[in-house]
Amino acid sequence: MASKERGTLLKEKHVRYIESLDKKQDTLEFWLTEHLRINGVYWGLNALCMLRSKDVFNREDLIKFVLGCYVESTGGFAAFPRHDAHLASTLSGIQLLKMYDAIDSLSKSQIDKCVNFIKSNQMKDGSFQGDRFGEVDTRFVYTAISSLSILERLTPEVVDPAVDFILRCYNFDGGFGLCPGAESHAAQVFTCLGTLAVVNRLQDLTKAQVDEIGWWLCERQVPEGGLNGRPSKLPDVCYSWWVLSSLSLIDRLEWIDFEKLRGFILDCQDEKRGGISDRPDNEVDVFHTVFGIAGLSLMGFEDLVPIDPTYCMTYDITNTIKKYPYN
Amino acid sequence: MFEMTPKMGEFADVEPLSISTGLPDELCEIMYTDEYRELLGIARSLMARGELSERALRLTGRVIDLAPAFYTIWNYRFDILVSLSKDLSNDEKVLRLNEELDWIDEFTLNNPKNYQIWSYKQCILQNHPSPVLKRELPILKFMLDEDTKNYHVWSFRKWCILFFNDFSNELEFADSMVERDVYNNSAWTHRMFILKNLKPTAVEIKTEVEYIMRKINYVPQNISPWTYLRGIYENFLASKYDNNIVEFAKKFTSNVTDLDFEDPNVKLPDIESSYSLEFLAHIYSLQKTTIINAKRAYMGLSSKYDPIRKFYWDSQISRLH
Repeated sequence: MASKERGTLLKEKHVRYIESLDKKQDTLEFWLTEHLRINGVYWGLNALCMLRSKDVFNREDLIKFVLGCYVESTGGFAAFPRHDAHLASTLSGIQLLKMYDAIDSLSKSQIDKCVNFIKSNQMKDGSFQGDRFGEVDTRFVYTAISSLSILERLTPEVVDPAVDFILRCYNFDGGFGLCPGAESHAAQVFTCLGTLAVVNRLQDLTKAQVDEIGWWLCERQVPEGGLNGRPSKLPDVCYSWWVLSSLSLIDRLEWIDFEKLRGFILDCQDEKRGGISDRPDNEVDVFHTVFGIAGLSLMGFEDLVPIDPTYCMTYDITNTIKKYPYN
Repeated sequence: MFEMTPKMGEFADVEPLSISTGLPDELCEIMYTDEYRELLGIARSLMARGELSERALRLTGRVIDLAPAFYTIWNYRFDILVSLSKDLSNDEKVLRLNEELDWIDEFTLNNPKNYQIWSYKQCILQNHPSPVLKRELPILKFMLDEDTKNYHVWSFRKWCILFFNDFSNELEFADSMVERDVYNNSAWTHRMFILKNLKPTAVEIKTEVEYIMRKINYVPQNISPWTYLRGIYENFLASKYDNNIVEFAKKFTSNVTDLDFEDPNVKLPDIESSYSLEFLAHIYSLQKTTIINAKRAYMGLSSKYDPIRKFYWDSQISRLH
C-alpha cells in the first residue's frame, strides 16, 4: 500500500490521550515517575501547542505546579516538588513558564538565582554537569544554554567555553557523542547543533563538517522509513525529532524521504486510545507522542503549528526570545 | 518471608514526613504502596534534619531499590557516605568505599538500564584513595555482554580508561566485541577512540587497515567498518587513498562505476555492498580524472542501491565538477 494512503494524524485522539495523562494518578507507575514529571508536562503541553489545543491544560494550575518545583535553596527547578534541582528539569520549568508567557511569575531574585544555579554547573572544560553530582553530557550543555537563552541571560564567559566543548564532541563519522570520543548518537547530535544554534555559532562548523553531519543524519533512515539513533539499531519515532531538527538546523532537511517517514510515524499511532509509540504496535507514551508530532510538524504535514528546531517550542513562542549575541 | 517495615525497626523514633505535595490533586496519595510511602516518608524526615548516619545509608539503599531513578536519594546517599568516611584512616576508607562499590555492582546487575549508577560510581572512584581499574573491568565486561550497545556502559568504560590512563586492555576488548557482533558500532567507535589515544605507528596503521578489510570481507554490507576505514584514512593517512584500497572496494560493486550510464540499454547489476560503492564514490570525487566514476556511483546509489536517500545522492551529483 502506498504510504500516502496510510491514514492521517488522529489529532483529536492524541489531544484526549494527553489530557488523560493528568488523570492517571491512581497508578503506582505514575508515582514512580515523579523524577520525570516536569519533563512529561512540557512534552504534553508542547504536543498540545502543535495541535492547537493549548487550552486543554489549565494554565493557572500548571504555573502553580512549575513554581512548586522551583527549589529556593539552589535556584534550579526539580522534576517534582521537593526533589533536588537538576539542569534537565530546569529547562522544562523555564520552557513551561515561557510557553505560558509567565517568566515574570518568578521574581527578579529568583531568576538571578536560577541563572547562578545554571552557571555554577559549568565545568572548566566548558561542559555542564546535570547537577552538583557530576554527570557530564552534551545534553546538559544544551539544557543549560537553552535555559539561559530563554531567560535572555547568555554571556560570552558561558557561551565560548561551551561552544569549544561541543566542537570537541564531533566524531570521525560525522556525528556527535555525549562527550569527546563517545559514540555518535542522534539525540546528542541535536543537543550539540541545538546549542550552537541557540548561541548563533553554527558557522563555527566547517562546510565539510556540515556535509558529514548531514550525511550521518540522513543515513539514519532505514528502508522501512523510520529513523534510528545509531547505525545498525532499530528505528524509533523519537528520532523523528532528533534527526529532523538537526537536519533542519543545517538546512539539509530534504535529504530525508518525508513520505516514508510520515508513514512510519502514523503507523505508530494507537488508533483507539490515541498517543504514539516508539514502533508500530508498542505501548504509547507522551515522549514518543510529542516527538512524533514534532517530526510531522517539521516536515510540514498535517497542518500542525510549526515548531522551532532550535528550541523545541512553537515559533509563536520562540519568536519572542531575544537572540544572542545581544549587541 | 516476613520483612520488618522500617518503622518497626531502627526508625521507631522517626516521624515520617508526609510525602504529599501540597497541591490540590492529592486524592491519589492512597495509591502509594504502604512500604514506599513509609520508606520515603522516613527518608524525607531524615533529609530534613540532615541526618548522615549508617541507618540513613541503609534506608537510601531500600528506597533506591524501589525507585532507582529517584536521583535526589542518590544525592543524599552520596552525602551520607562522604560524611561517614571523612574521618576514617586511609585503610578504613578503602574498605568502606570498596564496600560501596560492591553494593553498586550488585545494584547494577539488577538494574542494567539505570544510568544514574554510572555517574554515582564515578564520584565514588574519584573519592577513593586507591581505585583500581582491574576491579572495574569484569563488571563492565559483564554488562556489555548482556547489552552489547549500552550507551552509558560504553561511555563509562571510556571515562574509566581516561581516569586510570590505561589503554592496554582496550584494543583486545574492542576486538572481542567486534568478533562477537561485527555490526556493533559502539565497539568500532571505541576502537577509534583507543587508537587515537595510542598514537599508532605507520606499521600499526597498515595492520589496522588489514584488520578492517578482513571484517569487511566477512560482511561487506555493514556500515560501521566502512565508516571506520574512512576515519582511519582521514585521521592517520592524510586521506591518501591508495590503489589497493580502491581495488579492494571495487570487489563488492560489480564494477558498476565502469559502466556507461549514457547507454539506454545499460542494466545495473546487483552489488554486494552499497557502502563500498559510497566509499568509492567519495574517493573518486577527490580527483578530476575520476569524477565520471564518482558520478556513476552516486547515480547507482540514487536509482537502485540506496534510493531512500535519493535526494542526498542527487545533491552529491550536482556538486561534482
